[in-house]
Amino acid sequence: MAAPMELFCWAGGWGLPSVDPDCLAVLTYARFTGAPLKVHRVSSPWRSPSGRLPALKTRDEGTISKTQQIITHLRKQKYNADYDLSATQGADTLAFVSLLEEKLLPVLIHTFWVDAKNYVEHTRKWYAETIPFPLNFFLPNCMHKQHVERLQLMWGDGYMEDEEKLEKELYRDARECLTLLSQRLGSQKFFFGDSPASLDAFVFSRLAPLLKAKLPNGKLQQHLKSLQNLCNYCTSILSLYFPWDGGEMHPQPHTAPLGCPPQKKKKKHHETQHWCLAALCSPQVTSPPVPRGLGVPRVATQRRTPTSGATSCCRCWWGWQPCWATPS
Amino acid sequence: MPPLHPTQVLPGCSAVPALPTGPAAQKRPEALPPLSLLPPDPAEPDPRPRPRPRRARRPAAPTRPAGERARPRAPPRAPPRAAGRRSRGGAGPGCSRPRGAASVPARALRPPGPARPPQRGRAMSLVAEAFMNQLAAAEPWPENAALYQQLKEDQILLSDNASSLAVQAFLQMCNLPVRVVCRANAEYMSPSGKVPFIHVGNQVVSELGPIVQFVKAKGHSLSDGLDEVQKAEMKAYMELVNNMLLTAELYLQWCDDVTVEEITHPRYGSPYPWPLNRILAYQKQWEIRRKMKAIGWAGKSLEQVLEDVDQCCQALSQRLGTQPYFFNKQPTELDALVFGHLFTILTTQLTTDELSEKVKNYGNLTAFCRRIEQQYFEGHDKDNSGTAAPRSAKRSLLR
Repeated sequence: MAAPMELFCWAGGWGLPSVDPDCLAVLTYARFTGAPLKVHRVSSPWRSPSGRLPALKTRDEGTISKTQQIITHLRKQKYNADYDLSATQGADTLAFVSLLEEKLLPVLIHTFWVDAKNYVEHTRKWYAETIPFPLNFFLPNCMHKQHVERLQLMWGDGYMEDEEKLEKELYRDARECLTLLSQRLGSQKFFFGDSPASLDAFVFSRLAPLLKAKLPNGKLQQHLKSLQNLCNYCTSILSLYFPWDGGEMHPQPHTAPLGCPPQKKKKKHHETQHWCLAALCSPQVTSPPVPRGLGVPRVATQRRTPTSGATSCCRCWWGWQPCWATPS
Repeated sequence: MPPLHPTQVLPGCSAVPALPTGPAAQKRPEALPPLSLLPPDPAEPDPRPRPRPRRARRPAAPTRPAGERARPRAPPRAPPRAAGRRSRGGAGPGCSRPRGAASVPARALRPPGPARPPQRGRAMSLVAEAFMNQLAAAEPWPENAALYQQLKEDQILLSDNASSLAVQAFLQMCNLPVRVVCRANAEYMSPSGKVPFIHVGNQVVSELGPIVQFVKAKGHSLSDGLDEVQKAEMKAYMELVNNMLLTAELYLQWCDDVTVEEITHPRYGSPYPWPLNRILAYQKQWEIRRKMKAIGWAGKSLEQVLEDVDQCCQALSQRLGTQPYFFNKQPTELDALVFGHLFTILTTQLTTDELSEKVKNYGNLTAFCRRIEQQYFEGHDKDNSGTAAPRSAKRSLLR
């Protein structure tokens, strides 16, 4: 293909190539299959051509924003990680992906976005530091609200308030799900033998953030860490498939405090030189005044986020948000 | 999948002759198979006062039989005792609807007399609940266990019928007798707001997952023989069914406009008088549509949903292969769940046949449904001639 497809996903952090599970799934799948993608690690969903992340910009089919559809698209382009699987293994893939989506993902969202301590001290901190200036004041809160609403709809009203029930039923289910995955993996390198398949991309993308994030309230995390084979599985995928991401973007992922922005940003620049021009033109770089102390973490005015260039970012990702903050 | 033509697999299956749509089938939009259904026995009146639909101003239409029941395989022995116990117990599990807890002591379901102090009550109830659970686990399975669901003929919808059938199949596989009780307000009686739920001793448990755990606590388990990897796979496939088949059923009955107009609204609102039937149906529809939006199904077209169903069936068919059950010779809760959903899809007449056609493409799945039906649901059909009519009605629906 002459022009490679472009993938937009959330920036990396916490020692991961991307902090968002969905983006991470697509990235991992692309790495597994060796699909030639031009990866834009952006720091705001408004920079994505579809207003969502992840998004794959293709030549013939426009922009695709759903994880599953992106993977299907890559598969159609002959980048198929499941090529060698038998039909039964394909069925198993579908079943375990369902298990992840039903049992683990909602609890994961709860851990990162709803659990008060984790959200305030970890998730919101990272997003507020990463998202460029005016947006960082409200985007994290919007995302929080969206996630809360989603979980409320999925679980019903009773669960969100009742801590005990939450812990007793949903977290127990999630821990059980982790245990089941660990049992299924056993001592294998990947779920279906020695080569990675799409299931591995999904499992890795759900587990890695949980493993790598330094959560103040790590109930679920502790359980994952007690399952040694899953931990080894994640670290081996990270070192095999994302050696330079971890290395270049985060020189000391394990020792550095969470998100030390200036360093990170400079490194990111090297990786994304071709956006420099576009970024320079973007008002984010030139305009923002110093925010008055609102308790929001420091905003680096010199921070230039890689943008998608010509495709402007004036998209209202959050339905009700006004467009005033974005350049047209 | 093994390319078995349906007609090759099904000739032995009396329930699946290739009949054209019978007039009876066309007349009734969504008629459900009266599985293991006995006509109401007038000699033995239902010991309970029939709970009124909680939000209805007057009780449901009087034409309906008070309680349809399915007789378990083991002969029910002690109805008088059951009646006595229940009448002492008061209103039964029917009237209040605390949302949430999957398993609550039946006592907690009664409208509390004096208001319970909330703070102290919580710690107390925790201890009490743990204690009751232990007690309940020690108790053997009672003869008068009952499974509640909506009215079979007029009200129940595809997804609820599938879930109910799955629980019935599971209990049958465990050889635990349960009486099926149809109530117009079953949805409001359930502790989690979901149907079906079982009333065993003084416990009320809803939905398959918690019921499986509850039954396991009583010492009955279908999956003990599996090794750990198999257990993991079983759980994964159960989630696959819940994630795809159940969601597709919900989508079809609440988001597909034709089905909503012709089947879902009339059936869902059937027990209630005029303005209420519309209001409740729209309320439920709104709730389900929001849920679909949350899980990203709102933007899907019917074709995409059917495609997902096909994918799911293909996976199940692959997994089943030529085995009698998903894990060799013994049935597990996965078999019960798959049977509940596939059998309901196969035997329910909807506005179009697209959904059941998807399942019928997989010969081993239809044969699987047929096998489980014969083994677990036909045994007690034979001992009562009264079921002949319902069964023939079902035949005309299975095409």
